[in-house]
Amino acid sequence: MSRSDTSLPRWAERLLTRLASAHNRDVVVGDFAELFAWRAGEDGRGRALVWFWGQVLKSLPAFISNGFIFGGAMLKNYATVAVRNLRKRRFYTALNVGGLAVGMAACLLIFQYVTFEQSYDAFHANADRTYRTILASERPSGSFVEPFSWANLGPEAAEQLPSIEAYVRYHPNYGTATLAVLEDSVRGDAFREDAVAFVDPSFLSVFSFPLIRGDVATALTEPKTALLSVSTAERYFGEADPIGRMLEVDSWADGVYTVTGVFDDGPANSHLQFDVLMPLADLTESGEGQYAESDGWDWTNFITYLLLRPSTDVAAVEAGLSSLVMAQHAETLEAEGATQQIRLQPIRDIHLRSDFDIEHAEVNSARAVYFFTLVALFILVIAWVNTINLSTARAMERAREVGVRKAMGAYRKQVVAQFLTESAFVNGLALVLAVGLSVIAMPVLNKLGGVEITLSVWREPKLWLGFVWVFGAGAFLASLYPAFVLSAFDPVAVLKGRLGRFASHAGLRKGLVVFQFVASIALLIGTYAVYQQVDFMRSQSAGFDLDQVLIVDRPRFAGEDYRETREVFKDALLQQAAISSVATSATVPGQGHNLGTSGRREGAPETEERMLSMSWVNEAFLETYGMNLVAGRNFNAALETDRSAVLINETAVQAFGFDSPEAAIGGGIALEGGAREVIGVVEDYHWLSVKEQVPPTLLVLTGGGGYFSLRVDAANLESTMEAVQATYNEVFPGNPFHFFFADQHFDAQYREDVRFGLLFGLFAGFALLVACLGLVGLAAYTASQRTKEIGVRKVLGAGASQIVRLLVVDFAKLIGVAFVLTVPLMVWGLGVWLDGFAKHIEIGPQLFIVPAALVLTFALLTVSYHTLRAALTDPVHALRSN
Amino acid sequence: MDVITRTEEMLLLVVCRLQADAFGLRIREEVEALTGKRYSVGGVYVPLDRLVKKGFLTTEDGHPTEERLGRPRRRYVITAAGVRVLREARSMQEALWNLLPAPLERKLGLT
Repeated sequence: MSRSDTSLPRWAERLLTRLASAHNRDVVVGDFAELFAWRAGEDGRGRALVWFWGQVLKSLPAFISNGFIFGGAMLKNYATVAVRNLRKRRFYTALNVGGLAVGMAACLLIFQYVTFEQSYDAFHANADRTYRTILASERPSGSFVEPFSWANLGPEAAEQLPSIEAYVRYHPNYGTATLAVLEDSVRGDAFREDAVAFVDPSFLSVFSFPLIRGDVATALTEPKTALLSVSTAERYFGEADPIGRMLEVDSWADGVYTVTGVFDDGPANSHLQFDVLMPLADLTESGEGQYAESDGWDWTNFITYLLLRPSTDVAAVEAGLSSLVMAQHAETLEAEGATQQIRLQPIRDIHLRSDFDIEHAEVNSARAVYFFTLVALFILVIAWVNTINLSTARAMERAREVGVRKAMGAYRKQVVAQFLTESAFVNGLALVLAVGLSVIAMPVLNKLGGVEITLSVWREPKLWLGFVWVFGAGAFLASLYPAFVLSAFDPVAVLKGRLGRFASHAGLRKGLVVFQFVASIALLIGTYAVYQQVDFMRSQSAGFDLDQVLIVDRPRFAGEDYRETREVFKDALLQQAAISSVATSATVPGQGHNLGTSGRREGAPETEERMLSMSWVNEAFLETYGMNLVAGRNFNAALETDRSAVLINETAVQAFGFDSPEAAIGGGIALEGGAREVIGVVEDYHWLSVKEQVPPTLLVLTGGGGYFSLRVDAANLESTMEAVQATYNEVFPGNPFHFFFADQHFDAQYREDVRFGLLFGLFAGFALLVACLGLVGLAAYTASQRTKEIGVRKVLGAGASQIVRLLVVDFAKLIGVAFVLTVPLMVWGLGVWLDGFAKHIEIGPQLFIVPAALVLTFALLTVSYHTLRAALTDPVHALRSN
Repeated sequence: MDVITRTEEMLLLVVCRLQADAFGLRIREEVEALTGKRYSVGGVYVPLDRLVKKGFLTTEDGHPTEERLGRPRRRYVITAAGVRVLREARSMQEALWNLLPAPLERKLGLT
């Protein structure tokens, strides 16, 4: 029969013939052929093929159950024999189930983690049409992209663009606020709050953060009112009713606030995390504070969210917003040769798809998440490879059973079904164990991953579907191969004792073991490299001495005479022998500079404008932090002229085009507020993580600032601390004492990297464990298979060590091959990862040797038990067995 | 008395309705069009075969055609037992409905 383009391909026909039960074979093939021809005629052959595979997959359950129906009583028999077989070979069953269970558990954990990371901000009812505005500025000196923009962007855009249904502005407190409970106008307990935000009243309707006390319609509409989270309200007022209570607040908008509502603690998978909400109008409309003189288009401290009407053209809104912004700043932008644009970012993308120059939310990278998915699949594949290896290795053992079955009249299909039933039992058991394991391990993952995954992710149908597919399809395919191999034996040959070419499958097994170890070694090398890099970053001199610096927050309720009490506090501290210097500053290493702005060398054209960072410090700062001057001098608080002077770093010397640090002294830097004279140059230092490039930096003199930094003697630290606290309480009564150590604060920046390393390490461990379980099985098998050979060798005078060497060398070779294959892979992979760091370790042999040695040790330890046992057995037993 | 499931009743009725056209593929299409229940191409034979086994349906093989790569169609025909079981199912259903007093039916919103 000739075949046209539209008819079912011959291989498909053959596949169906195999799959469908004998009873229905002809009808099913006919049905498929008829429908395929029709589809191919309508949509083309490609689509028809896609349809074909989809239908085959969907029909699989029917094919299988049909087989059972007509196999009738066989099903029960399969089950009985399967249980008998699994029980008879307990050691092998345990290895198989254990390996699969660990692999599946790792996979379950990772899938839950991934699902959690992808679930961010999905809980908002309006999630699909809520966007965050992103400001992208393009200047000759470079581009800058940030979620922060102007106060008036939202209101004016909503007026001009009808497709905007509502806007919300969000103003973080940028630092710690202090809230004190007022009882009859007397200040009671004071609390430090890091998560305070100022928002528009629309915040509660655009986002889905339900109020459990108070009225959504009036909340945040009155000045000086505050909403608290349930847990915060409990901390402040205990069981008592918080509504109507008063708080004295020190934040961006100080004053006495009335609590008018309580909201549920937000879910962990929200990019916005806050405990206290206050009206944004208190910042912009109150006529006092930083924005008193603002026209709403100067400070870019606001994050604006827009709720668009259903089926709005997002690109059109972006264009409208951008032209609004360009028109607003037309003159300055033209002078600078700059452009500014507004982009809209769907809120569901914020957590995983934000890679901006600065960020407010805690974000993760989508790449890391996909990477872990890949790791999960690797571990699972390693586990499946175990199944394949363990079953084919034991082919010899089962060959006789298969031979007898066939001789008694079993069809090959029935033998296949027998093996599939066995593996269904193994997989089912492993799955039950894996679910248990993953529930137990969940708290560990939560701690390491810094996430709060609860069992509620199990409610996601997507997750279930994923599991069913991956585990079901994988287990089926992984057991199909052994089933077909084992059922292929020719009964006559087998019963005569010949196994034919299928029997050993040693080549395939070796290949699969090599694959397992390539994956394990790669993961271990990765883990090791992550640790090395983090260690390297920590050991890099940051350019200051952070070891013995204690940082104390300034008091928030300081009173009118703070200028004086500040000095009193400093002097009192310096009286103590253990404190050698006290600096004040507006920011400290490990958290951002105070200001990111631009400036140029005095006299240079405007096109020479450079981005730079500024921080405010006092004259004791260099000494306290052990910073070195390369030229010029430190600030002198007594000199009035130093108030308009700056210290710059070496990077700034280059950026502003001075020939040398010495040449920079006496030069001027033109900034927005006027020119400042350079009086000194300090060595480059990493104010932020060494991951980042050092920016051109200016230090400006101030007497105040939010932090006292104390250089303390490491000896008797505890008593020093007590003395500091006592002094603080005496000078600033009624303020909570809060301190931290500079080095710990600085190290906290590497938390994300450490976390990545820990997670990575955990899963690399899983992978190695599963691979080693497989090796145990193979080693036991090899040893038992060569029992007779070993017996003969021993009789002829071979020592135990020679026997061990004989058996171990084979495995060592495989691992050697795996290592050789892994190295180029990892050189490339690590290169890509390390490129993301300004300073990073070099890729060299040192990164590979330790993990390789570790894997080799583990693997050899694993195989040595059975090998040794084989080597030490009395040869008489071995040789007598037949 | 044999009791059949809703799905079985539905399939038997579709087979009756299609008469000479009651082939697997047509049954699958018809069930999907009438009830929204979807079977895979291979899947529709599972319940049909069950009905054959129970004796409510029999099969007849048609002529092989070229578009089916020389495979015959299989036509399903309802048996006397099938007709009986359908009749029983129907009368039981109607009896149960008729036992409900009309006011109660309205009250529960069943009409």
